[in-house]
Amino acid sequence: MNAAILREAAQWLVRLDHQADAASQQAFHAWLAADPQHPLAIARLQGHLSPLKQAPARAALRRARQPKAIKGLALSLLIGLLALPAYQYSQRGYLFADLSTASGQWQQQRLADGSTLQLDGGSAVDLDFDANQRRVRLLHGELLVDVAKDAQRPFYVDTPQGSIRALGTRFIVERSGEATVVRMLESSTRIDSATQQLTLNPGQRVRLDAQGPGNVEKFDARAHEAAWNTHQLLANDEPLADVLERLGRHRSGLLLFDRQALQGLRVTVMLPFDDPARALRLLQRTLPIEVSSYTPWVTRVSLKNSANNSQ
Amino acid sequence: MKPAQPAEAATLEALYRGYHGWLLSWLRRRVDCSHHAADVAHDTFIRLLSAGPYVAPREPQAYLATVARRLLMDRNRRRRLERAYQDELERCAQYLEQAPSPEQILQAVQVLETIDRALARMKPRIRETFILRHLDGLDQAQIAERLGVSLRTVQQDLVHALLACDACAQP
Repeated sequence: MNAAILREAAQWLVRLDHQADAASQQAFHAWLAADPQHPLAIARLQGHLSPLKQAPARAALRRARQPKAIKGLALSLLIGLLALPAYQYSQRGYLFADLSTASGQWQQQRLADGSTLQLDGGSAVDLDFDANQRRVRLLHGELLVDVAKDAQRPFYVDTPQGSIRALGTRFIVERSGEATVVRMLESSTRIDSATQQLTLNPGQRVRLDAQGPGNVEKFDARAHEAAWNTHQLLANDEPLADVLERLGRHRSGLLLFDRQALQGLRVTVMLPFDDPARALRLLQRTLPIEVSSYTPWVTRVSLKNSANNSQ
Repeated sequence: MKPAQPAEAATLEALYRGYHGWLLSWLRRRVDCSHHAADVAHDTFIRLLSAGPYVAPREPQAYLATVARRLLMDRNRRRRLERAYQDELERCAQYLEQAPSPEQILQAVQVLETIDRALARMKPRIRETFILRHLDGLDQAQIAERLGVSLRTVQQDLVHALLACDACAQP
C-alpha cells in the first residue's frame, strides 16, 4: 500500500482520537469515500492496535516491558478492572531476567567460571560477575548451583531473605513465598540472613524468612538430588502449601490456594513435575482437598467442605 | 561439533546439507528442548529461503548462528508476552464473561509482539507518548502537559508510532 495513504490514515486516526466532533467526522467520511484504498488503510492501522482494547493485553504488554521502558511513569491508572482478587499474586519481574525458564522447562547453564546453574521450571536469575565476586540473584523459583572453586572470587546466591556464600560446593536454593529454602548437597556454605549467620552442612536444610534463619533440619540429600534430576517433586513431611507453590511453577495456568486454610496439612510425596495435572490428582486422592478448574488457566485448591465450610 | 572439513555452501541446498546438523547441535546447546531446537533450525532455513536471492556466506556457521540467534530472541520475546498475557487473563478471569479461545490468544500475542518490537525501535519520546496514550490511557492533551511538549508534537509522535507498528507488522 501507498505510504502516503498510510500516513494520511494515521493522521486521521490520531486527529479523531483527539477530537471527534461533527466537522472532523464529516471530513473523515469524505476522505474515506474518496478512494477505496482509504478505508483499507484505516482498517489495517486499526488492526495493529486492536488487542490494546482489552485491559489484560495492555497490562501484559506493559508488564513485559516494565523493567526498562516505563519505570517511574504512572502505572496505577489502569488498575480499575484489575483490582486484585484476594489471592496472592507475585509480581513476575523475572520476565526480563538474564536467564529464565517458562513453567515446565528446565535449563542448565554452564557459566564462564565453570560453575553450573540448573534452573527449575518457572525460575529466573540475574547474574552479576566481576573480578572480585560472583553473584547470582534468584528472582523466582528454584536453582541448583554447582560452584566451581575460585578462592579469589566468592560465589553468592542472593534472595531478599539472605545471602548464601560458597567457595566450591553444590546446593539448592528455592524462593518460596516470602521465604527462601536452602538445601545443602555437598560441602558447606555460610548464610547471612537478617543479621544472623550460620553454616549449613550437607544433608541440612534451612528456611530463611524476614526474621532470619529458622531451625536447621535434616533431609535426604541424595534422594532429593535424584528427584531434582528426574524432575520429580519430593516432599518429606512438608507443608502442602509449599508443595502446591512448587507445583504451581510448573504449570502455565494459575494455581490458587489459601495458605492459611491449608496450614495444618503436611505431606510426604513424590510427584511428577512433568505432569502437574496428574500430580494434583494424586494429591486430591490422598488429602482432604478439592481441586476445581474455572477456565483452562485457573485452578483452585481448597479444603473439602466437610473439613471447612468457608471456601 | 564442527564438521571435519568446511562444507560447501554455494547454494542454499548445499548450506542445508552441510550445516543443518551443525546448526541443530548449536541450537540444542541453547534451548532446553530438542523439539524447539529443530523448530528454530527449520525456521532459520525458511527465513533464508524467503530472504530473497541466496548469497553464499563466507562463514556459513557464523551466518547461520546470527540468523538463528535473532529467531531465538524473537521466540523469547513472544514467550514472555504470551506468559504475561495469560497471567493477566488469569488475574481477571472472574471479570471476563468468556475466556478467549487459544486462537484468539495466539493472535493477540502476535499483534502485541509486533507492537513490542516497534516500541523497541522507537525513539524514547515517541515510545513514551505511545505508552502514555495506548497503555496508560492518558489523552493527547494530558500527554502534552506531562511531557512538556505541544499537542502538535504529541500528534506527530503518535502518527509516527502508528506507522512504526505498521512497518513492524510487515513480514
